[in-house]
Amino acid sequence: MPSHLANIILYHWQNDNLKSDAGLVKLLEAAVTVELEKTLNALSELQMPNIAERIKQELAS
Amino acid sequence: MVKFGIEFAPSEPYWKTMYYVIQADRGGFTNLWITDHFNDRNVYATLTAAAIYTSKITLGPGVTNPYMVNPVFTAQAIATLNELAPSRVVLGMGAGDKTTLDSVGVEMHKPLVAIQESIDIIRRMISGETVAYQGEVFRIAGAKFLFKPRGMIPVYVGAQGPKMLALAGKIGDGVLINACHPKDVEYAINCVKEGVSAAGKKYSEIDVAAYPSFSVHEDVKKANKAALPVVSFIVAGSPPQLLERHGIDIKKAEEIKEALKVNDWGRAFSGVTPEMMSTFSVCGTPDACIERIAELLKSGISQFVVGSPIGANVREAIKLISERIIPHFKA
Repeated sequence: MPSHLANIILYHWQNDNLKSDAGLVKLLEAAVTVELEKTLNALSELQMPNIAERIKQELAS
Repeated sequence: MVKFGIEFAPSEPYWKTMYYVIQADRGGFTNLWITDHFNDRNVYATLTAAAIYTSKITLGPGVTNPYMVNPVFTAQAIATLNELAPSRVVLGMGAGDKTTLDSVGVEMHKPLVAIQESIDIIRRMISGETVAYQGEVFRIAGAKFLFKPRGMIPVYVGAQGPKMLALAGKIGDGVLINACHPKDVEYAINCVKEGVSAAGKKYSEIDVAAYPSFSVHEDVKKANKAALPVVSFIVAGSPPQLLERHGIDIKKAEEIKEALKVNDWGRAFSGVTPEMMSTFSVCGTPDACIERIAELLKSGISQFVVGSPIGANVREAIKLISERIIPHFKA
């Protein structure tokens, strides 16, 4: 996990803000960074294929 | 009111430890203890981050030792930390682990004297004195900080043997007892009380903490499974007298020790008996843990420290302790 990303997540957690949009975006970014395949599978299982597809496109570009 | 402490060995990436530390601060824990082992991440770097990410919890090394870290440096580190988190810093000081000290070629010379002298040096440094010291273990020509420390810092002594426990009672502001069986804790407290009396103090003036291996889970099997490896190492490192006192077969303990030496984890862990688990850990469902902690409180401890592994899933375990166990004792 890149330290800059970990620090932002900890900042949101410290402020009890991890469930906010900003917090969730960073959590998703961390999940993609650390466990790409698992994250994409989880998003598909959660019936959020659009998000998974967008992540794939972002990574490909 | 009983205090609840939590211990972390900074063996995981800092962000994981900090995640749990923030959770503990928010969840009602009063004390955070970070272990000091040269082969883990640095204790003071971890405590500095913890001080920044928290606002209430009292924190300190639990425990450092005077052999690996010169007491002048320890005084400097905790005084600096106390600027960052004023009145939230404590120091845990113990003699260290002989195996660890041996592995880096440091001799555990006169542990009782070393603890007494190092704490004396640390307190004098923090009080702003120029310290010239001619002790049996430590010699200091003349040391003084170029900054003004922010007030005194409570010192806890980590102790196991009767002499160290008595010394802890005599010179400590607190004691960290590495035990969880009521028989062991009662014995330890009697030793501490001897030291307290010798110093003309009252027992209620010091904070006495039980610091055992702990594991909680709604599923008792999962709680046990997480604690089992830690217990196997405790059994392997325990003196025969202690094992005998609890009716633990010394031969079985030797077998575990031999298996651990050759990294045969399966054989070592399968040798751990339920008696060993209950003697050397507080482990089980939240209700079972509450029962064990209540029993220890009757012995006279004022702080219960949740030690490794905490649970099969640390985040869930902290949540269970914060929501089920701590509120039970606050009610």
